[in-house]
Amino acid sequence: MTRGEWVEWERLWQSDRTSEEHLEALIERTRRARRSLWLLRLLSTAVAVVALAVVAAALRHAGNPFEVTLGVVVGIGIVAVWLMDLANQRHAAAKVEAPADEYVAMRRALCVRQVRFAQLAWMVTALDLAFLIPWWIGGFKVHGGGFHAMQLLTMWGPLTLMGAFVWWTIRLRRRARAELARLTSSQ
Amino acid sequence: MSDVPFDRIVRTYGEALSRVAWGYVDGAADHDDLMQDILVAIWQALPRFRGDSSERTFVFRIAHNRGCSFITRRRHDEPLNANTPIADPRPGPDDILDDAGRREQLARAVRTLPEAQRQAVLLRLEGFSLGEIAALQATSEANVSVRLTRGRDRLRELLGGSGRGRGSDA
Repeated sequence: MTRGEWVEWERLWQSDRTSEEHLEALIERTRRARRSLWLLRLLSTAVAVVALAVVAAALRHAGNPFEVTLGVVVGIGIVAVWLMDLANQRHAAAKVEAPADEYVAMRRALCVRQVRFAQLAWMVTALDLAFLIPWWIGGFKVHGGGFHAMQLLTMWGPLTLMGAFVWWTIRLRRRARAELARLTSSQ
Repeated sequence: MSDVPFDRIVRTYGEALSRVAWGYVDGAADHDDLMQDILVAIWQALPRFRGDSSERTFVFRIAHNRGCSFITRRRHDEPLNANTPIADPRPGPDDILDDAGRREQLARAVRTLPEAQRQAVLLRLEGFSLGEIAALQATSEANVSVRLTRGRDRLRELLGGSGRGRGSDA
């Protein structure tokens, strides 16, 4: 390689300086981002707990062994989805310091896991709806329709959470598939 | 985990990491996002650092891996072909030839390089030796040398062949 050319480019490149204030601002910004990460994890746990609580409340009103079995399966499904999400979060932070080939292999595996996660999440949501809809219909007969506290807590709230969750998984799956396609095409 | 090692890493390498980020993105907002992404990844990976490589290698590997991931994710809405237009890094007649302008031309030219070449060139610009780049890229020095030569030829072509380098080959 030609030394003079590199020396000149190196000088030019390294003449881009960052002030100490900017570095301190970066440290502070990263602290905030880390706090946001913790909050997101807490939120994911809270959503799982709420979903389990709603299923548990519906199980108390289960009328036959089939409904009990369905409720238990849904509960197990919710825990499985939650654990899979935690595992994916851990996986996403792994091997980031590895050589590029190893890192790309990890990203590819993560994308596949995210696609599977979204599919499992949709199945569990569908089962959850199949289990909860009869309970909600029964609730309408006993407590009446509308938006009173009981309905908000047991129906509209969980429905909104489910909608938001499904929307999030659709986006996650779309991004994972797009990244997978990019990684495959750049091989 | 204590924040002390992390803060020290940002103060030591932050400036170089910021330059490396410019090798992947061209807008201030994207640059800020990528910097945050890199720093969070370093913070998450720091407890796993066992000194198998130098701290500098560890930090720059993370930066490059996150840089590649960042642009892969950012492009997820673009079509999967090589015809996507990119800004022409060649200087126009009205371009100001001060250091800032030439540095921007250089960064734009670097961003057009293929991934492995870009990584090698960015590290070379940061003053890494052939051996260090080879260790970071997990490849041979000969391979790095080829990447640097091809990268340099491309940069020379894009930057209009400054013709400065008439010295010996390394």
